[in-house]
Amino acid sequence: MNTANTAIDQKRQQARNKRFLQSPQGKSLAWLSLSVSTVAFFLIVAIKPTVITITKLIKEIEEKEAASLLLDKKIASLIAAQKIYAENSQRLPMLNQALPEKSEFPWLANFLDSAALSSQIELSSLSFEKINLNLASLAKQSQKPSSYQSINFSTNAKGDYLNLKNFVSLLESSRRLIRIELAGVSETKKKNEEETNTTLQLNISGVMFFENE
Amino acid sequence: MFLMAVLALLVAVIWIYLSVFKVLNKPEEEPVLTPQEARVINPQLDEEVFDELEKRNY
Repeated sequence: MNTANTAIDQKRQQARNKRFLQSPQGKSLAWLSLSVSTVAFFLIVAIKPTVITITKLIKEIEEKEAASLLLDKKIASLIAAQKIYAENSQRLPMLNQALPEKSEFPWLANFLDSAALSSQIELSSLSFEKINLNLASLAKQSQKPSSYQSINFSTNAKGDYLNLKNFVSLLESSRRLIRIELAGVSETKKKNEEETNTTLQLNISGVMFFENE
Repeated sequence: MFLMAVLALLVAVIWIYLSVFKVLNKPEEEPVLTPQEARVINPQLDEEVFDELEKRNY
């Protein structure tokens, strides 16, 4: 009995739907649904890839514009640097004197010797720390990237106060970058000498620098 | 039928929005410039260093 009623209800509903679709309102709704479905279909199939491509291109253009601005800035700074380089090109060799590419430790020995001679003092000892002359292995050994390397040295000199002072001032007037870490003066008395001619001993420990390639 | 069509349209719009959002927030696979190319040098030069070095004779 129930199934028969249900079947009748379904038939009535179908008839109602058929009538509705044949009415002008039903036809409009069907066309509207078809239009919306078509729009949805084309949105997915055609518009989506186009919008994604446009977005990618806009993003790429923005990135390249930013890179172009950065490169313009770099070119401007290079032109400025070139101008400054041209203005100071004659003075640039002084930088190599101050911070040479190699350790050039014999230069320091020669410099200290000539400074001692011109200051009229006696250079009694000069020692350098262990120097690695192989720059390639030196670069491998240094874990931290640094723009320079250093060599420690120490020297002893004997003379009177004024000459030792002159020696230190010569050391300070060196173009080569030298840092005096420690300077000590002690008195050395010699037998058979008068007290007025007391000799002083100067101990200097320092560091000299060179460029790290 | 109409509701399904509207739902499909809504899904399509959301799908497009999410795709665009994904493209915009995708990290760059390959930068336009390498770090070395992007490095801008500082053209400032402290010329007092030269004056100071010139004063030193040895």
